[in-house]
Parts: sequence; structure tokens; C-alpha cells
Amino acid sequence: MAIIRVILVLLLVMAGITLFVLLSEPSPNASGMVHPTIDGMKVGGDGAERLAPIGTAPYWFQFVFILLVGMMLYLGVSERNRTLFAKIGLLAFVILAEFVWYMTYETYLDFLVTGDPQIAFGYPIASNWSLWGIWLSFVAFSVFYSLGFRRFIFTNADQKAFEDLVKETKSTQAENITKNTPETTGA
Amino acid sequence: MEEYRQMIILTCVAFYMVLCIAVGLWAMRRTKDAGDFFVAGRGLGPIVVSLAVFSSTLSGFGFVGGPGLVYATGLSSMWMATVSALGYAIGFYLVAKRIRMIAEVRNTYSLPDVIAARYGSETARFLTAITILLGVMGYLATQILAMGVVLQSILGATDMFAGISLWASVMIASAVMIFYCVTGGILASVYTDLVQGSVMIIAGILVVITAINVFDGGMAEVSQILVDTDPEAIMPFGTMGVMASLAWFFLFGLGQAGQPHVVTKMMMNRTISDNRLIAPIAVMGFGVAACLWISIGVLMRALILGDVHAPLTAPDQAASVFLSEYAHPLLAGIVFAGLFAAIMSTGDAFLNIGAAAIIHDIPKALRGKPLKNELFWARAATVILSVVAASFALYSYYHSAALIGILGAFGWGTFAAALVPVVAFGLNWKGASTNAAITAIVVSLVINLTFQLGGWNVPYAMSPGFLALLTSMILFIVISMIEKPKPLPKDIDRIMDL
Repeated sequence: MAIIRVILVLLLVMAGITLFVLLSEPSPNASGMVHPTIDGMKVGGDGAERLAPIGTAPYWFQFVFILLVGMMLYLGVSERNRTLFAKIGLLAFVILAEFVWYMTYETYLDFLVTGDPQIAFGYPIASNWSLWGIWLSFVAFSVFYSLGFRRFIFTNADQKAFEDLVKETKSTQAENITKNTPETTGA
Repeated sequence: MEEYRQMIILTCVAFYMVLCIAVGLWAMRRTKDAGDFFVAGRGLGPIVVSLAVFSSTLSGFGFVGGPGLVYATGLSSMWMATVSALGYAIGFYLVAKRIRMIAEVRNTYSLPDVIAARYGSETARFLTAITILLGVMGYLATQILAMGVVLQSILGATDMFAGISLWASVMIASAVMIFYCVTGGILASVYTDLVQGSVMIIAGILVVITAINVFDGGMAEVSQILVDTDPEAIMPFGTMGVMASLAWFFLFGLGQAGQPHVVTKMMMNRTISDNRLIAPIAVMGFGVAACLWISIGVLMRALILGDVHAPLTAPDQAASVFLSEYAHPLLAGIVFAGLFAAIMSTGDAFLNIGAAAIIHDIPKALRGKPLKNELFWARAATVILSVVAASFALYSYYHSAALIGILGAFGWGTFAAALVPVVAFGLNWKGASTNAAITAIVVSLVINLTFQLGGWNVPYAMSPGFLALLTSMILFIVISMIEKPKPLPKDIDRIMDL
């Protein structure tokens, strides 16, 4: 099956990026530093400094991850329901998620250059993209699931086929019980 | 009203606990066999299932550990919360439909049952049950300890119960949970989840409104204080940095499909088509409740860095200090009840799947048949599991604090890395093989245990669970591709075509 091969390739790319990050020389504040006066609190320090050793690796890591998510969700749609509607819908929401991720990362990089967080709606603009944008861009997949439920997740034909399977299974089970009762087995 | 603050909080928590006991008694009369006890006879409506799915996901960690993490590390842990939308999407696209079909056709009670049906392997069933038991012990002990600590802080603040011990607090809280789990099984669990989920949503909304109004300038002032002191904390990746955040996003997003206490709930709905309602309700419910996690953490960090409040002695105090000092007493009461709700809803789910592993899955894997009188043994196993987990929690608290932390952290990553490929790929790809499933489970357990017991830190603070999950997914696909696919049982084959 082609989809599983694409998923494997994407996973291997992510593993490659992860390996590159693991082998890079982290800056002292790569995962934060202990706050000088407050116990239990961490500070991030210079964001540009800790991003320098790994360059654009995080951006591409998440870019590939969103593609992986799209392919995995597509794998969840049964082969006979992989209609144009399902394909276009999933592709559109993957593009939306990629766009939101791009905006999150770009606005963060802008902040690292300018030092201006541009606070709007209570949070810096980059954090708004990640907090609301990323959440909503993935909510879209669940909304699409609900709206397209009868078109590509569990169609009326699927329901009929499943009901037939349940009937057959139950009648087989009933036959087996009848065969094994003392009267019919002569015990 | 301030002078009655502790009594109001205590009344809300007591009312909630009495409600749980009442639900347990109600459910007891409707629990007639093991099927009712473990999967509620597969007859639950969409609202009940959706609230059960989301409230089982958002444990006490979300209400106590989550705000503490944001307080300590800024927005890094936000990625664990925002990823819930992805987690549910993965769960519903890849798992919900087929697990429900297999449950009906094969009359399965548990996730190991489903895996045994899919792979035709008792070894896979046994390993899944062992994985569940390992994860459950750590998770359950942390939930029980969290309940005890919170109850002790509430009771200890009143004149009547001043000086109450942690031991007594653990006993009281555990007794309530054990009672409704033993009497009503999963039916009591999901109906208390209904109450618990509703309380969590209300608490989430009210806390956000309160948090916004602590500073005159609202959240903009909060953000400005954080920007002035350490801007990285309020930027998207927090103080822990981008790779730590993205690794959590990967682990918590894909990992949802491997959480047995969550996916087991997907077997309980009355009809498969209910899933189209369950998915969005669960996503929205979690989203609203998780607002509490972020808003309290961010606010408490700003209060302390802005010299408005004295530093906390531990990050996990963020939620309780906020409620005690900044929230209206009634809101504090509701949120404390919500906190118990979050802890108990996860704890009862673990009790249920743990009991199923002990009395249903492991005997079936070893003897080839279940125990006689499963309902009796299910109740007995629930009590024994609770007592062992509570003893373990108390022992760990007094003698080896690191032990419970290790096993608690081990929980989510263990389930995710061991079970995601086996469940998510296995239910959607006919080429998935038994050996791949066994290898993925074993390798992920080894990686997770090695990192946890060795106490090693991964560079850039990436979660070891992420490395284990990435490795197990790759291994699962590669091994399945190398092996010649075996024919599936007819009914499973037909299900996988749908």
C-alpha cells in the first residue's frame, strides 16, 4: 500500500532531523536555565542564541509532521471511501495547518530579530498563532470528520455491510450454541 | 463570604463526593455482568461518551501539574494542551470506528481483546495487558497521591480537620473512588465522568474570566510583565525551547490513539454513527477545560515576576494558591470539585482497564479462556488494585519520592510508544504483522524504561517518550513490510474493508 510507504518515508525524514538536532552542540540555554532567584522557575534567555545550532531544523520537523498527520488521517479513511471530496478536504486542512505553522514560526523569528512581541488579544502575536491558530487548524480535521461522516467515514453502504456482518456473526454463534447443546449433541 | 471560604470549598467537594457515591449506587443496579462492568453493555449515548473521553484525557495533571508547568517553564507545555485537537482527530479517524466494530462482532471488553482479535495472537494480548498494568500502576498511584494531597490541603485549612494526615486523606478520597468503581463499574465511571466533565468545563470558563480580571490591563498586562522579565517564557515555545515543545506535540498528538483508558471508551457508544457527535464535543470540552491550565500558569508567573506575589515554594502550588487568594470562594469550591473530578475521572478509568487486564486479559492470554464469574473477580480486582496503588503512592511519598514520579511520567509515553503503532496502524493496514506488534511493544518499553530508570536527559529536553514512539512506529512498519502478510480472520478482514 502506497500510503504506508509515504508514512514510513516521512517518519524516516523526521528521524533524520531529530538525529541532526541530537548531534548538534546545544547552547547553554537550549532547554532553559534555572531562574537566578526563584526556585522551581526556568528562564529561556536569548532565543536566537539557542536556535542558532539547529537552524531551520525545527521548522522542517513540524512541516513534515503535519504532512505525516495528513497521511495518517488519510490512512484512516477506508480505501473504498477515498473519494475526491475526502482527498480535497484533507489536503485543504493540511495546507491550512501548514500555513498556521508557517505564521507561528515566522512571527516568532520576527520577534527574535526585532524584539517587539506585538501583543494583541492579550498575547504576543506569535503565541496567538500557536495557541489559537494551531488548535483551531487541527479542530478543523474533527469538524471535517463530523461533516463528512456519512460521505467518507461510515457511509450508508458501510453501515449496511456492517449490519450484515453482525447478523451473519450472530447467526453463526447461535448455530454453534445449538450444535453444542445436550439435546442436539445427544449428550 | 471570605470568612466562609474554607467551608464553601469543603461543601462543594463534599457535595461532589456524595454525588459520586449516589451514581455508584444507581449504576450498581444496572451492572449485571462483566460486559456491563467493563464496556457498559455498549449502550451509551454520544454526550456521555464524549464527556467520558475528554475527562479521562484531562487528568489531575491538567489541573495541578499543567498550571505548575506553565508557571515554571512558560508556554512550552501549551503544546501538550493545544495538541488535544490533533489527538482526538487521530483517535477518531484511525481508531473509533473499527474498535467499535470489532467490539460488537467479537464481543470484546478491553483493548488487549481487540489486539488479540486483530493479530490473532495471545502473545500480543499478553504484552498489551502487561503494558497496561505497568502504565496503570504508575498513573493510578500518582492520581491517588494527588487526590490525597489536595484533600489534605482543603481539610487541613478547616478548624475541624486541622492536622489531618496524608494517610487519612488518601484513605477518604480512595474510599469514594473505590466505592463507585466497585459497585457500578464502568457505568458509574462514565456517568461520574459526565458530572466531572461538566464541572471541568464550567471551571475552565470561570477561571479564565477570573484570571483576565486580576490585573487591570487584563492578559495584555500579564504578557507585558513576562516580556519585560523573560520574553521567551510568553513566546510560543516557552523557556524549554522549540524542540522540547515539538517533541511533546508529537508524543501527545499521536499518543492519544494509544491511551487504553481513552480508546476503550470508543467501544462503549450505542451506535457507530454517534462518533460524528462525540468527536467535536470531546475536542471542544477539552479545549475549554484546558484554558484553566494555561491561564492560571501564565498569571501566577506574572504575579511573581511582577513582584505582586511572593514566590511559590513549588510550581505545583500555582493552581491552589490562585484559587485560595485570587478566586471567589464559590469559584474556588467549584474548581476544587473540578480538580477532584479530573483526578477521579482518570483514576477510575485506570482502575477499570487495570482490573480488565488482571482478571480478563492475562488469564485469557495464559489459559486461553476467561475466569468464571468475571463480575465478582472484576470487583475484587478493582479493590485490590486500588489498595496496592494507594499503598504504593504512600510508600513512595514517604520513602522514595522519585519512584512515583518515574512511574507517573512513564505512563503516557509508555502507552503511546507501545500501543500507537499497534492500534493506529494495525486497525487500518492489513499488512501489519504480529511480530511487528510484539517488537514495537517490547522495544518501546525498553527505551522508555531505560531512559526513566537511567535518569538520562535528552538534548534540547526532548521527551524520551517521543524517541520511543518514533522508533516503535518506524520498526512496526519496516518489520511488517519485510514479513509476508498473513491472511486475516474473515470478520476482521471485512471490518477493515469498511
